[in-house]
Amino acid sequence: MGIVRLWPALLAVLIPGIVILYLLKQKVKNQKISALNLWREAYENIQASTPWEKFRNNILMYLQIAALILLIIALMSPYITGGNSEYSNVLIIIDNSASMSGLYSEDASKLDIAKKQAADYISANDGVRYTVMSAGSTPALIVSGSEDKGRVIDAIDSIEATDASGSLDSGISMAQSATAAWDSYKVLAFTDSSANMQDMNCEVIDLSVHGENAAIQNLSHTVSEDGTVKVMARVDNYGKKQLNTDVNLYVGSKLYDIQNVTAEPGSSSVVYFKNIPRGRFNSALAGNTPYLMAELNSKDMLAGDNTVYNILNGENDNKILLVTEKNTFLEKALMLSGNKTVDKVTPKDLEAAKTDEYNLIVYDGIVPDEFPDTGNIIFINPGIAKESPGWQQEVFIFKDSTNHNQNNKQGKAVLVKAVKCDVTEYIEDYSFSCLDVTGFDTPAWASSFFNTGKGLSAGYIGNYNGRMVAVTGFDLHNTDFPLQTEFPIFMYNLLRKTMSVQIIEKTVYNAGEAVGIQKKKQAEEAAVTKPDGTKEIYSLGSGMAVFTDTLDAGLYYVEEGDDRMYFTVSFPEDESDVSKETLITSDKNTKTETSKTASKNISKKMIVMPVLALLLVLLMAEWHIYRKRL
Amino acid sequence: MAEEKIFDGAFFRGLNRIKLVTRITMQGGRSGMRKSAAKGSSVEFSDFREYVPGDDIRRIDWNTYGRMEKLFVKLFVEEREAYYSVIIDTSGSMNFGKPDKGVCAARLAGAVSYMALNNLDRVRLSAICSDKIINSSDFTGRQGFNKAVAWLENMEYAGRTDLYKSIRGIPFNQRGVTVIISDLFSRDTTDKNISSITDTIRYLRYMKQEVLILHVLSPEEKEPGLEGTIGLEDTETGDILKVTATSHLCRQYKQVLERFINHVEESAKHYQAHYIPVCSDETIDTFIYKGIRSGQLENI
Repeated sequence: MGIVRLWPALLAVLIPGIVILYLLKQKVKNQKISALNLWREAYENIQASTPWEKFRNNILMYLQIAALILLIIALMSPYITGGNSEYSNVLIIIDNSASMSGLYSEDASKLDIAKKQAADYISANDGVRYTVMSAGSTPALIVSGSEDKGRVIDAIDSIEATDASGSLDSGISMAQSATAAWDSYKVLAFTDSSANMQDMNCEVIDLSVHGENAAIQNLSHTVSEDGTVKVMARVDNYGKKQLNTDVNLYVGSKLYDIQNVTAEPGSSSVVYFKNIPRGRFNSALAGNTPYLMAELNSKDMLAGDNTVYNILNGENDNKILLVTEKNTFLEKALMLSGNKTVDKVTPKDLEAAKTDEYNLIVYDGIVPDEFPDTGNIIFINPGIAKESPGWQQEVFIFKDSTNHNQNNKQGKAVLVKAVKCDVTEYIEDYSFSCLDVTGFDTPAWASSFFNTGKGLSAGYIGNYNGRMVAVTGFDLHNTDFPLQTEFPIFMYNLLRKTMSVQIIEKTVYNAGEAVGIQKKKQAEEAAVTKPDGTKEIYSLGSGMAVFTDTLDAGLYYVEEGDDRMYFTVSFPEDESDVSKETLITSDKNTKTETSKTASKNISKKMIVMPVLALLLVLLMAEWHIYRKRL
Repeated sequence: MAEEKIFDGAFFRGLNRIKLVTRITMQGGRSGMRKSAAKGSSVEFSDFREYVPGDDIRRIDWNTYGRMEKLFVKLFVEEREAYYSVIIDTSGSMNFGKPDKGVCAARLAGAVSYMALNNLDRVRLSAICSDKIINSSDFTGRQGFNKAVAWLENMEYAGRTDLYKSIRGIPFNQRGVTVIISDLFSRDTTDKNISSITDTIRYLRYMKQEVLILHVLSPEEKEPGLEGTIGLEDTETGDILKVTATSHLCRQYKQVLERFINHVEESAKHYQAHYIPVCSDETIDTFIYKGIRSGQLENI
């Protein structure tokens, strides 16, 4: 129950006026009676018990006071928010994507407003089963069919803003399947983005606010030939005014430089930080802060997109050791595949080489007796040992096939086909002939990327005890594959996969994206530290773990034993654009209401007409009594 | 007093159908049509007694002498006239009601007078108010009735009542019947008033009077139809009591009135007086019927 305006309550001062008028109106008419003493006695008997006896008979006065009160109530435009809702089920969907953490008013975010209005709605409606969902990058069912208002409101309070990209659309299909089972329902959706509500009966509260917002994106760095480092970032202005602000660049936690940037409304500007001495990075790395951070020096509607990170690549991750007698194709391919150091040794010198220093060791045509302690490994055309050590039986599962013809140089050529996977990216349909191919059964820890015609694997890759191990079952000299354009692509993919990173594949993730954590060395578990400092521990028993809680933009790092690797979760670009018009659509013949200010539209029923009807009835009753008395 | 005619044709027609009886026997006074305790020379036999010298020998019953051989004389009841004191309350409170209590009181007094005079009894009318007593002369015979009517028609209702004090001022020289016609209201509280009425009855009984109280109330007094805020003005004192007349107050009044009537009736019974409540809207016929039922009146 509530009222729209309060000032008519002042008219209540007229009520004592009516009473006074009635008191004044009561001209006492004298009536003669034979003797007073009986009346006096009767009057004294009742006077003590009813001091307000004077007014007992003034029904007209009471009716007039009641009529005045009803008139005042009608002028105050009363409404009811309580009572039983006309729907037995209400599904509340709250968009918690990154843009919802933007400011709606000076001290409240859009998500805060959505939560408050949802709570107000729940408080005002009884007898309803509430289902609550959050919809952002992925929909989540928070409460299912509960009539416990306190629990539902608590659950709504627990919905937190994320920095993930998304809109209501992600939750629509889930909402549809939920509402399909209900006879009477209403969907109450809170969002600031466009959405198609399809055929649901819903009320969408549009919380989009146009205002000033700038975002900094795409922080990157390059090392120039002269050894200096150049850092670049893009600043987008989504506001309606020209942006003129400073961008602060931090190396690690230390402020390095400040650049001024201007951007017209709706456009972008690129800001550069040039000629940063490389030593600066080294010292930064020495301080164990191998990342850059750029931030906008001005406040706006959305704070999440004002900071961006970039992870610096460590130099000691790029050393490759090639163990081969002679394989120019392979050596060139390794050299071409990036800014990496490739050292070559012959098998004879292998024992003298310090394999611990290398990130990747490529064994061409030979297999070491001992499995290397560190680094990832590529075995190319591994030889056969009659009594293989234990590790070889796990890594190489030879199949006794006709293709296995190591000594027969006149063997029949075998067609090797690419299997669609990361290693064969862009060459998925490629196949080539090879004279001498060893067929393997793919070990349980690996997946095949080359298959022979008989379904055996001619090449596979996988995580073996925390190490990336790739095996190809043919000699590059026995095929024209190295002469094809597909070869460098294959090698690049293979190196990327095996060199990639020991713990995680890349250093930049989008909010909401899952991070695969690879087992490295003999680490049993991995710890992920989030931007807020909390740490999550994952077991690496299966060789891999998946970290999915990347809903907050910022700097993360993963630790496995002594190794630490930073990665950054970036704020989604499309969530920064506050200038977009929100468009709520629905299928035809479907009732969808959209309102900007939900608080005024939620479950309010004006009750002015019933009050006026009651007033009319009162006035008619008064007229009737008045006529009767005349 | 209301302008209506007090004694009309209907009144006189009712009178011819009744006679008044009293349980008392008359002593002293003049001869009338009532039996007296004194043995006298009437024709109605009363008793025998032995002859003593000096008795009228004409009264010796010779038949008894023949049977008993003793002289007896016959005794006869001497019929004497009854003395009626009709006391009418002429205070202001009697000048009230529709129909007017004063008119009703005058008619009752007229009826009682007619019946008494018709039986050759003697009637004295007394109007009492404000310590003032106006006694009529004694009326006798049919001629006396006309005088009584004329006297009653000239009564005026004004002033206050103090029944006991007023009645103490009336001389009661012989046995008789005293009829009080009043609304019995006074300025005093109900309890004090009842006490005063009781004293009056006791006094009259002491003065060897058969007491008949005709308690006259108007319909408005029995069923007050008051509404709204009004000032109740006492007709006797002029005092005003402001009240808001509600059904609750009216109910309370009726309870108080009923208690008052019950107390008066109880006092009357206790001192062997007769009490007849009369409403001013009742006709003389109704009053007579009530009188017959209570044993005071019987058909002629």
